[in-house]
Formats: sequence, structure tokens, C-alpha cells
Amino acid sequence: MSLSIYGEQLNSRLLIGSALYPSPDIMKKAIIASGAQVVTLSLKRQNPQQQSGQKIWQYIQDIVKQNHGFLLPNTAGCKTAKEVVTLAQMSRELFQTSWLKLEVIGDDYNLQPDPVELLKAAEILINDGFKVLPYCTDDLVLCQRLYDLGCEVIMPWASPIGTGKGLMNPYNLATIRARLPKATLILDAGIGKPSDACLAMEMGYDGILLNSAVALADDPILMAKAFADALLSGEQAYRAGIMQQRQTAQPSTPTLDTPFWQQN
Amino acid sequence: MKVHINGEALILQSNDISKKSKANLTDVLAQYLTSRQQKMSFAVALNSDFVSKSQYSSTLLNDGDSIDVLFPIVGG
Repeated sequence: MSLSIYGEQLNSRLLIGSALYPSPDIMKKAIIASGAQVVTLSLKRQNPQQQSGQKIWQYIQDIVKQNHGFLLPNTAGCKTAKEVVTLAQMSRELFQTSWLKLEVIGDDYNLQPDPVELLKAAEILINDGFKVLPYCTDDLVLCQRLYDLGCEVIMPWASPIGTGKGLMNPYNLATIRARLPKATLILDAGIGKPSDACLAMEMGYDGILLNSAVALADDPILMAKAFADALLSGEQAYRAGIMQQRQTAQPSTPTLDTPFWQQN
Repeated sequence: MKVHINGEALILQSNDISKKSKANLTDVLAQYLTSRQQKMSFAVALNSDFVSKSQYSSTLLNDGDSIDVLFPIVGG
């Protein structure tokens, strides 16, 4: 089953970041091993002495070409809607895509998104023709408002960026899934291990966006494959229909004709 | 004329603008970026507003303007 993002059909439900890998070569191999077709990247200042940026950019272009994928520029570091809009317009020109991972940070300590600026930015960007994928907290009403504005994809966090704490509040995430059945929901940030991703997929999430969990693994390439398998398992489990939990034990072996019963 | 580019002060050299009343964005990029960087992919903002490539030559600068030149980098 494919993932649809703003009308584009993707074979993988994993979206992956390009930062923090031990080397560009490991980044390339890990992303290809993950099967992810969407790769996030960013824009930053670079002084004339720096040479490394162009090499990374070439690597990312090669990966996306090889995976028949898509670039997803982010607005990391922005704190206001005004900053976001300028950076988004710069990204659209440079990366030739209207897709945008919308990030507006409201708190430096836990890098929590600012819901007020997020809504303001999303509205401006949508009116300007962007396909917005907002990174937000697991607040149901905020997700509803973003969806109502026209964000077909919503990306609530599992936990703060880079913590690897997994799903801090499964109840909130399950509620968002239940209340926004038509939205494409991608869990973004805080994923630490493949079982976190599998759990989200079992809950009916459409995809996972992660970076640190793969890039900071001892073996990023192997971990990328582990995440690909975890997403597949979780998605298949969701479609298969998970059994209801029960309060009491129920024997799975038939009790009829149990041997030795008369001896007890 | 003095502008700020990526947070650094830059005095625009007079020969760049001697034949014109004001420098434009093309002038300042030619002075600030290395020849290698000028061939790279980048995007520009002037005083926190995006400027498209097609407008570089027609965007005139004023003393004290702030310019951002951004390049692709990794991101999550």
C-alpha cells in the first residue's frame, strides 16, 4: 500500500532526514537502505570559506534521483511566521518544490513548535501555493485547525526533536488519528527505535519522519533497514486488524477432551 | 556604501558601482561570494524579504541593507 502526499504516490511510508550522519557516504547508503523517497534538508548561511555544502547537496540530489524521490525542505530555526515565509520562498526557488516541512519553534529548551505562529504561517503559505506539511505538537485542536486551513498532511511529534523518547502520549496521538480520519498523519520527531515507529503504524498513522534514530545508531545503514521493516510490519498489522485486549485469560488450546482431567 | 551580508559588514568597492548611482544585488554577490560559490545553488533575501534570481540586477541597495545568502545543507 502506497503513501500519498499531496497527490504523489510513494512506495515507502518512511520520510528521512539528511543530518547527523557520520559521513556523507554513510548518509547516502542509509537513506537508500531505508527505502525512503522523501528526504528533508534545509538552507543556511555559508561563509565563502566553507566548501562542504555543495558536496552534501550533490549527495542528496543523487539519492533522490536514485530513489525516484522528493525533496522536503524544512524551515528549521525559524521562530516567526515572517521568517518562515521568507525561508519558504527561498527554498521553493532553490529546490524547485512547493513542498515544505513547516517548523516554527516556540521554545528553545524543548524545541516545541509555536502553535500560534504555525497557524499564521500555514495560512500565508497555503495562499501562496505551498504544499504544507506542518510539524506540530500532539494537540488535537491544533491539528484540526491546520487540517481545516488546507494542510492535507499533519505531522505531530512523538516527543521533542532528537530525544529518541518515542511516543510520549499515545492517547493524544490515537485521538488525533480517530478525529482526523481523512488527514495524512505522519509522526515526526522523537522516534528512538523501530518499535516506536511500528507502534505508530499499528495505530493507523500513515508514515514516519525521522532522522536521529538512524543517523546516530552505531550502524545507521542497518538501522535504516530495521526501520523500513518496522514500518511495514506496523502498517500490515493495522490493515490486518489487531485483536481487542481482554481483561481475563482465555485458553487458546481447545479445552474439550483435555487429557487427565479426571485426575484433578 | 556599507551593507551586511550573512551578518558580516561589507564595504562595497567603488569600481563595482562607479558607473551607477547605486549598487545592486548582483554587484554585492560578485564581491562577497567566491567564484566557486557563485556557480553553486543559493537563494537570497534582502532585509528579510525573499528576492528571486530574476530580480538581482534590478534590486538596488541602500546603505545599511542586510542581505542573507543561503545554501543547501542537511536537515531533519
